[in-house]
Amino acid sequence: MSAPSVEKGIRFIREQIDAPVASFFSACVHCGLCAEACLFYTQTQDPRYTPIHKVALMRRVWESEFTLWGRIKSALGLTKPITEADFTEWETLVYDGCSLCGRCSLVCPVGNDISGMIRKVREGFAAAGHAPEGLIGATTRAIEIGSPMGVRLPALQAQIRHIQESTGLEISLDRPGVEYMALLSSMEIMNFPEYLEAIARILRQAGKSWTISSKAFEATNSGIQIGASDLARVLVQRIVDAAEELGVKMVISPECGHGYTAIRWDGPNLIGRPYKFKVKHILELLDEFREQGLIQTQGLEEARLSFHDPCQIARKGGVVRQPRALLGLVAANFVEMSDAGAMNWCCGGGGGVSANERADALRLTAFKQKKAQLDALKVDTLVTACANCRITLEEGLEANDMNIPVIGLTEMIAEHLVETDRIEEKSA
Amino acid sequence: MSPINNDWQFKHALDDMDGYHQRQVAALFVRNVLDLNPDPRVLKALEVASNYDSDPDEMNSTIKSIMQAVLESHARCGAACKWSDQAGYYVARAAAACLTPRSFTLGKDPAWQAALSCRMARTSATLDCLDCEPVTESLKQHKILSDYLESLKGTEP
Repeated sequence: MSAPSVEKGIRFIREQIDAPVASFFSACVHCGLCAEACLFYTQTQDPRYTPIHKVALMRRVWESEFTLWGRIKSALGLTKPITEADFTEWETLVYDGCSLCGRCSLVCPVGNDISGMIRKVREGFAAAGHAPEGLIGATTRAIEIGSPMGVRLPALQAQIRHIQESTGLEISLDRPGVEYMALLSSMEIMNFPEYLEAIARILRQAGKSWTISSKAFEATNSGIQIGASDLARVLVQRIVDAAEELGVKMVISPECGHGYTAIRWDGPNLIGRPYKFKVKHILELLDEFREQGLIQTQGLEEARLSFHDPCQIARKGGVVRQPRALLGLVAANFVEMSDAGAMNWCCGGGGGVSANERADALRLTAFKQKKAQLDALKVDTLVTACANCRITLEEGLEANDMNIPVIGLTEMIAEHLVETDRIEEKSA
Repeated sequence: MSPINNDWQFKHALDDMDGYHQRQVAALFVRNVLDLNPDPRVLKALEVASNYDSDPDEMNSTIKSIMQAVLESHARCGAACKWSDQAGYYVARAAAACLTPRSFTLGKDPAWQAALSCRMARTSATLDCLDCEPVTESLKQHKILSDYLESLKGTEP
């Protein structure tokens, strides 16, 4: 692989310009609606964070190389070339000031997928060597170790042992012929072991067979976040190979927003063929279990609570109805946030922003939007379904002196299951 | 009372305890893994958890400060994992469990939550360590709880 350079960056941006991108630039009516939809613009009022401005370098390449007028200007030497300084200037806009939440794409009156273009333009920045250090490290570890955080198999095995010993639940690795293969995010393995316990409890009650692959347990895909499709492809292929080797019918995407987008939507395009198995987010699966009467719950949370829709799951994945149906099983006082569902405001930490230390201050500024939503609701508890959202929300709440616990929905459902005493069973 | 020898007895003994005794015994579990996190906020949380007459203001400020300790010690998304640091996170989580209201934890028993986090802390500490002894934190917790229950004999009506 050749070293990063400005020339390589420009070439990679050029390669991303396809018919949809060309039509998006041609169709843009400069209305500014994308700015008003962007968390980073609305909370800073800095016009540089206007979403369409973030792809200005890509527009320059498109204009100069793919339009008649641009070609004439280029031939006359009237085109301003893209320089190292340009990449430096836009790097913070493209990575720090965009969580790839997709809100801009949703409001665009001419249907431009601006968020998709920012994802594409990151390919050029990564190739030019202008990606944040945190994302470079995460991507390197994902390729070399299999986890962006460097979580190795013995760590997962230790967590499985820990859960098995303390609960009596069985969690198998590499069991062929089962129905489901569950993925995990490193964040869940490291910070929230309760997620793994929760799915083990739920799948046991539903009577479903499942396993985790020792070769591909990681759901997150740093290749998508940094903008390196070749690496994203490698990470998807590992999961596909493992799922096909085990012969599972379905891969369960965990409470990880972009992990879901990567394996559910980007994956088949990256590897160039359809999967031989289905992919569902854990909330989609749990709601199917609910509809089929496979999970029985008891008791209701009395706290006034709301649900934070992770962008990748709700806006990009369309999983909006399911979490509300699940909350209906266990919550007595659910209240909806303003702009809930597909139009929900991002927590500010998606798209690699939370992995980018340089963006911390900006992320906390952007959190003011979520703070305003929560201030209006006055909830006791916030529920979500993405480990990264959860940490970002916890940090934002703490920074704003807001005493609201953040809980994963899968864990909440598991805590309300009607089940026999697990430890009693084990001891017996 | 016969000694506690397994998690079934352990959990049922915890279930039978009131909130104050749960907090006290949870603090004892955390003290057994304190070597993994020297943060003074952890110690302060244990002191407050063990004190029957803790002032509500002091309780609130201690909860706030231990929650900060939890957030400061968690693994950052995408950051290289250091399991020795992660052990500290689980100790902070265990200390927070001693004080966190049940409404914040889906009604889970604080002592059981603290026990699990302490076990995770000890497990985490061994993951980067080739020479470490196998983890036996659960057995130690059974003994701690047995001794605690024994110590209560004759002290309560």
